[in-house]
Amino acid sequence: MVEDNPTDVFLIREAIVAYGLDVELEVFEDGEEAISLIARMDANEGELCPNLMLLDLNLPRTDGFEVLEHLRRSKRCARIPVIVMTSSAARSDRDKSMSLGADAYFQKQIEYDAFLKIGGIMKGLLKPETQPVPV
Amino acid sequence: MRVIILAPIGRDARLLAGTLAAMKIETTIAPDSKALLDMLPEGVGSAIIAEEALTTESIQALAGWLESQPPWSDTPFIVLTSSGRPTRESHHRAQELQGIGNFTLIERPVRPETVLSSVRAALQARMRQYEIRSRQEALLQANADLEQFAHSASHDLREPLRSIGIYSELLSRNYGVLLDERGIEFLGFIQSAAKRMDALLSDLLSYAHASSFAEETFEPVQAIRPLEAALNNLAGAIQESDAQITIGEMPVVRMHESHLSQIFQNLIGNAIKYRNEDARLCIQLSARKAEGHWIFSIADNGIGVPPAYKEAIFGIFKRLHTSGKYSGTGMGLAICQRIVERYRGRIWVESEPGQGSKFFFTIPA
Repeated sequence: MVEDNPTDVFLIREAIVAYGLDVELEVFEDGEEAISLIARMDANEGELCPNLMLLDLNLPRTDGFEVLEHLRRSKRCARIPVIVMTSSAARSDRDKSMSLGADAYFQKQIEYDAFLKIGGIMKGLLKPETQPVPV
Repeated sequence: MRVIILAPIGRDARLLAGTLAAMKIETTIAPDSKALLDMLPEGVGSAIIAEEALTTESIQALAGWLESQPPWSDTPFIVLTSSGRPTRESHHRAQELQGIGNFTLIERPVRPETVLSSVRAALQARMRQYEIRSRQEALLQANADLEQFAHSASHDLREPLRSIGIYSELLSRNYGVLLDERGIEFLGFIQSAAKRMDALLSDLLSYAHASSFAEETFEPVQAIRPLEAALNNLAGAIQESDAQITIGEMPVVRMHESHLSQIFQNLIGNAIKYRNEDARLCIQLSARKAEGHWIFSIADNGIGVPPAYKEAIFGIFKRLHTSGKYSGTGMGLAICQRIVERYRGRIWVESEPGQGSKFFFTIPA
């Protein structure tokens, strides 16, 4: 998860529990760190690619779109599923995310149950059928 | 700003250059029409062309270059007509030139004063055009800045709000037993205030986005498509209110589909929200052509708008009812107005309280 807002991280943890997802959550607080991770994974055959990425668009310094572009150009992890998360309802953000290869676009909700619905999207993208075949 | 001179035969070019130079006007002499066409894209205030240098090919090439120019540019040309009696051919050529750009014809033999005054007028006009261009660029920049500011502010302001809303909800749910009724009520107030502000910020963002000046030209759009998108978004509310919606024939307009969709969504949403409880809600949408523009109308049989407020309702943050009775941030109509004005249209309402409302907006055809 690439996200700098602790409340949103908390809510994702709640969603993971609520939907019974058997995953480990690794959090990166800015885009630079995420891009470094991608570079590390490309350089090291032994490192496992994540099974899913949750990507906030509103990050300090590097923005979410840049991270997504880097990911899709990655040698080893280009096809992992990505859910873009944002406060924005702007059509242009949604269109740009999908055209850059995001698998889903989730608008962050101010109500607990509504936010937790992201767990359902995560569950769908974590299914074995949607996981990329290792290169 | 320079004047390019294309007068390849005889000494005309040098004489002209001399006359203009004496008045501190910068000139460049083009040896042939190909050279002229190479020079034009590098920047030109005005150009003087001797008629004999205007072959069919060179006129075509000029027409092509002029067509590629941005809307603000209207390069003034001065053509020195061949001396002697006017021929049918030269008459034809004059007509052709009028059709492709800004061409002033001066008869030869020319007097220095005539050329000078024409060149001065041409350069002044060109200066005005450059001013328009820089004002346009400044405006585009200001709008981009506004949108960027609204975008950041909105995101950065909504994140803490989410914390306030979510945690007060969770306090109520998970720790509610530790509180009395009043305590739970307080938490509810915090939550609803947070939600209200979140909605306001979302609308502020729409408002800023509504006037973003991304381009000057727009693709034609079938109005029925953004209308259907809006109805789709309102599906729940339409079903709940049992609204009967009739749609007349919708035209093709030149604007962003998302802008038109937003206008429809706001106006239809309002019709649903401010409906009459005693009658089945009927909404009629239609469009008719007037001079140079389309007039869209959305008519309902809802509670209407008091005449005194017919303009005020388009104000930002303007609501006629307390937040208890009707939900909403009060920005919907302000956003519509902003969008419509961005396309140089108008929006207004005809209404009587209790007798429904008819909202109109115009979009240039």
